[in-house]
Amino acid sequence: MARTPGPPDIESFTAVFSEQAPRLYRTALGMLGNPHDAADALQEAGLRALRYWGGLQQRAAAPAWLTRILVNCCYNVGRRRSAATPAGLLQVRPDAAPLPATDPDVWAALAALPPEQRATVVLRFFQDLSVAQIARAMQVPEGTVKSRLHAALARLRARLADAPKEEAR
Amino acid sequence: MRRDVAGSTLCRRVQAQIDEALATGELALAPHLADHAARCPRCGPDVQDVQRLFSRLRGSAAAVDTGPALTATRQVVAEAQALARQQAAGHRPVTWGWFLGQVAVLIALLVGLTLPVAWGIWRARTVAADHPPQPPAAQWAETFSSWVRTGLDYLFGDVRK
Repeated sequence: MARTPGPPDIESFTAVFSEQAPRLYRTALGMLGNPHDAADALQEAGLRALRYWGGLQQRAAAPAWLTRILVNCCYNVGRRRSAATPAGLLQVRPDAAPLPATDPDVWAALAALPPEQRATVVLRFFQDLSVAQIARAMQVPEGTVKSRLHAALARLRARLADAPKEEAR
Repeated sequence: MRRDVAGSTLCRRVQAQIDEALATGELALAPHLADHAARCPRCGPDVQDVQRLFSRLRGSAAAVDTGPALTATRQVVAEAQALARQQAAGHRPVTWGWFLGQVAVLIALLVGLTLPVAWGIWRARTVAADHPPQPPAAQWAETFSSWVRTGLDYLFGDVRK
């Protein structure tokens, strides 16, 4: 994939981005924890992708490329938010819009994870990416992805064991 | 990392698979290990626990209302369409107005270049008509000496008087 921006093919960009947007939004929501910030991150990622779309030579790589841009944008939104409210990067805002009503314990447990662990879990289970794909998207070694995933899932498992799903009770 | 299981070799292998599943996000037990987990009072709950966790995570993703994504998508698409319009404006087709404008600019350019040349030719012919033809070197020498005389008169005219 080249990084040199050229004249973008607007029609193909619009088609690909519109198709990928729901998947990207779910990822952003999992990483940021509230719909408002997730929509902000998605829009920022879209505009950034539009700017560099002409430099993307392999259209088949567009979903992974968009995911990488989105992850960076989520970190940016998280940094801006943490600058406004110094609660740390990607800490879920207490005044945020409500989380999805389905299985709120999972969302609360996700919100309690450190940012990198949360991003790894979200990419694995919300986007169904493989460990290798997550490593590329987050630009870290696969071993790092595995250790983050293991730590995150162990914490989630312990926390959710204390708060089992409503239907399971 | 994982709690120790005091059991058979199969128990240890199942626990190792569970440990691996936490690092990869995927639990795929071989048939004989799955059979063991179905019967083992220790491995069974652990396997179900991990499978339930994975299922809940995937279910949470599937339950997300993607409505807010539509607004963001619409804004990005609007931006893309605005960019497309800018690109189209950059490759505007030739119109009569544009063509006549180009012709007018060309005529103005030609007139601007031609007028000084025409004036120079006319002036040269006028000078040639006033004076008998001379060699070019003599014409230049006469002009130069005329300039020098004029300059000296201007500078030292009062001194002579």
